[in-house]
This record gives sequence, C-alpha cells and structure tokens, in this order.
Amino acid sequence: MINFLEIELEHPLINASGTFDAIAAVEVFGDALVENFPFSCYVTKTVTVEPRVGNEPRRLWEVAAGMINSIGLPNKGVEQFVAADLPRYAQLPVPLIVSIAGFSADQFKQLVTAFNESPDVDALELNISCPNVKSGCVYGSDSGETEQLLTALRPLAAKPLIVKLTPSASNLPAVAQAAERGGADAFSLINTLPAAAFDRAGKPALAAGSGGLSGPAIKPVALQQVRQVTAASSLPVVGMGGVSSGSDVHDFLQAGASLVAVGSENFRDPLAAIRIRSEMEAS
Amino acid sequence: MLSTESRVSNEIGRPFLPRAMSAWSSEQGLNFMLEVVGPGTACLADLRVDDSLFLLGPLGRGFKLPGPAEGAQPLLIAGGIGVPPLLALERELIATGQRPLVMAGFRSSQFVAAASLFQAEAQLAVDDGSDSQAHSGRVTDLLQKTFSSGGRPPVYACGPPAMLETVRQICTEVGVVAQLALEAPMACGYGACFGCAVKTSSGYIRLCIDGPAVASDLIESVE
Repeated sequence: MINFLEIELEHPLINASGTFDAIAAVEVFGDALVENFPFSCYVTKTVTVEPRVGNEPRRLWEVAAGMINSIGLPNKGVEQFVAADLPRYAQLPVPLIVSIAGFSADQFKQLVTAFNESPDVDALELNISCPNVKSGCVYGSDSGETEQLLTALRPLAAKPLIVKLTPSASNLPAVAQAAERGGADAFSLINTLPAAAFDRAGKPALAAGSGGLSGPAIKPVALQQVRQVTAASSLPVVGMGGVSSGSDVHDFLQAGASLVAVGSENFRDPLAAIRIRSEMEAS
Repeated sequence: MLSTESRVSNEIGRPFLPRAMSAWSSEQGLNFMLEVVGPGTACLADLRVDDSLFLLGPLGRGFKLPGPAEGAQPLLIAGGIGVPPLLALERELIATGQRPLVMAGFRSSQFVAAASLFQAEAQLAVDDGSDSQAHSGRVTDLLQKTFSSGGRPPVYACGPPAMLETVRQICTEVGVVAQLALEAPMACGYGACFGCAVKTSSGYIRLCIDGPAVASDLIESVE
C-alpha cells in the first residue's frame, strides 16, 4: 500500500486527467473493466465552472512518437458534473481525484469549494495551464501568479490540492516552490508541451493553430522535470509523460515520483494500463 | 554504419495511434480494405501471413437500417476507400430480405475492382473517364439522376468529404435524410479523447461513439 496525501493506494499507477474516460469505458467495454480496474486512483477529465463545448475541429494530430491535441476542455460544467458524473465516478472501486481549471481566482475558488462537502472526492488536481483572463498570463508559468492563487485557495479547500505544473514555465523549480509556499500538497507533471504541426496541404494541422504534445516523445523532458521538482520540493509528485511500459514507470519512480500516471497510451489501447501493471510486477 | 531508409524519413516514430477502420464480414472472416496514404496504412499494408494485429472493436454506431414501411429500395453510394461500411450494410440488408441498389465511384479505373465485392451489380462512375464501362464523372451525378427521375430511396453513403458533402446537398434539396459515414482524426475510438468532434445542429458529437454514421440533416456541411 502507498500512502499518498493520506489516501491509501494499492500501487503507484494512476491515469492522467482527460486520457481515460471511466464512464465511456464502462459503456463500451462493460463492467469487467471496473472489476479489473487498472489504476489505483481515478483522475477525472478537467471540470470548469461553466459548460464548455471544446475547440473547433481539427483537434488532434499524430506526430513522431506522440500526438498533438487542442481539445479545449469540453465538459458539462461543475453543476452538471456534480449532479450527473460524480455519482458514477463514486462507483469506481478506487479513490477519486477531480481535476479542475479556472480562468480566474474566483472560478478556482468556486470549484475548490464545490467539492469540500463531497465524501466521494479524495483530492483535487488544479490544472493551472489555463490563462488568468485578468492578467492574460498562464498561472503555472509564473511563480507570483501561482503562489497568489494557492494562497487564496488553501484556506477555502477541505481537500488536498495537487498542482499540475506547466512544463513551459521558464523556472519550474521556482513555480513549484511558490505553489508549496501557497499551500500545495503535491504536484503532478508534466502537462503537454506546446507544439504545432502542418498537414499535407501545408496548413496548420489543428484548427487552433497549436496544441499540446504528448506521448513517448515527451518522456525524457518529463523525467528531467520530475527530477527538478523533486529536488526543489519535498512534496510528493505524480510523474507522467509518455508512460507506455512497466519500465517507463520504474524510470519515473527513479526520478523521484511517488505515483506515475498513464496518459496518451490509454488512447492507443484502453487496456494498456493492465499490461503496464503486469510489466511492473514482472520486473 | 547501416540503416533502413525509414531511418531518415519523416515518418520515424509513426504510426503512434491505431487507425479507425470499417470492416465487413464474409465467409473468409473479418475483412478490411485500405489505401496506403501514410505511415499507419503503410505498416498495415506490409503485414504478412501470421503477423499479429492490435484490434479494438466493434466500436461506434453504424447505419440505421430502413424500416419496412420505407418501402423503396435502399441506395448505397460508395466513394473510393469508402466501400467497406457499405459492403457490411449491403450484407445486413440482404439478410433482412431487401435488395439494395449500389453506386460506386472511383478516381480511376485501377480502383474499380473494389465494386465487385458488392453482391449487387454496382452502377459505376470513374472521375477521370478511364473506364469506358462506367459513367465518366462523379458518383453523385448518378444520385442526381435518380432523384431527377423521381426516385426517393433511403440513401447511405461513405466516401471522401467532398463526395459526402455533395450527397448531403443533393439529398437536402429533395428532402431526403441520408445516412453518411464520416471520418475524423481519432485517438482512442471509445469516447475518451474528444478528438473526433464533429459539429452538428445540436452541438459537437464524438464521431467514435455517436457516429461514424450520422444523419445528413444533423450537419451543416461535411468538412
């Protein structure tokens, strides 16, 4: 058993937010998936205050050893999430982390407090890769913005706060330390890396022009950032970025991560995590 | 130092994702048809007997079969590599006692053999006029002709976006709701990634679980 933020987890493998839809998976693959649930904890897709339809298509594009996506956080909004989705996630046989994103400190406050009374939610993951609409700055790219946000949220939050760091921060250890000063309980990293591609016609491959790169292509970057953050802070880290095998999991644990998340590999094969688990046990 | 040519191509590290494919069943088993257009289809085309495959499926929602009340002979319109889902549909229709009509269009005569997989004798169209037995032009010309002579069959179509958009327009003009099998870049195929969003009159749908067969009156245009 692993103790992560006072949550008892059976093993260190979890999913990255937005890469494994437990509700859709059960609808498509049946209850057997839940009975043999491969993750020790489930992280939801990011929830925002207002409902979002997501970005114009084309939203994703395959590249060498990975993919670029610009999905745009489509979700039902927090009210519908709590009413419709949360009860279904609560049925999963593992603890639950809800990923939230705000476009202002007020939105983050609203989201954090929305889950204070929910016995089914074990922790919150703050997606701070969105821009603060007031300053135009991506929260996670700036130490000051990050510390200010955490300082505002900490006293309001009854749940542990996991800060999902932004890999494009120019001084990632400084952002991590700022989040820690503000009251963060843990970190998760890395989020996707800013990236672009062009299609065969020479046009931008994604309607948004650019997106986030994920997949094995980003694993070496992720390992180095996990090393940096674990060296700069004593808070536990959920490491992710291109995890597709048991040996990748060991690499992230070696880099200092307490838990390891599977992301895009879940897209390639929804049963990949079952294989990764068995590879972890075999080695 | 030695390496294969792919070492220096643009395609190293690809394919990363599996490809969304239609299949049809026959006495031989499960069948796929592909055209090599990139690294994913190139690897599939290189497969040899006894090689293994990753396969996840069946996924998504297929064509909705016409009710008995609709009466008219269903019309299946295939464009190029869009043949397979209509082969599956034809088999299903025949199994329920219907005799669908088939129209199939291809870029040039070298692809026409795909139409022989239909059990019905397909009306053929070849874009570049390279087949003297076939209509020289678009397969949608044949659909237009059917409507012009008063026919209003239920329409099922799969093919390139431009063809499907023409089918949609022609059907809209005469008030026929066609069922179109669309495609979109797709990562997971089961509803998790939200990558395959298609705009409809009621908002975005995920083509992987809400499609790929979509009613033509739900979409403003096929892109």
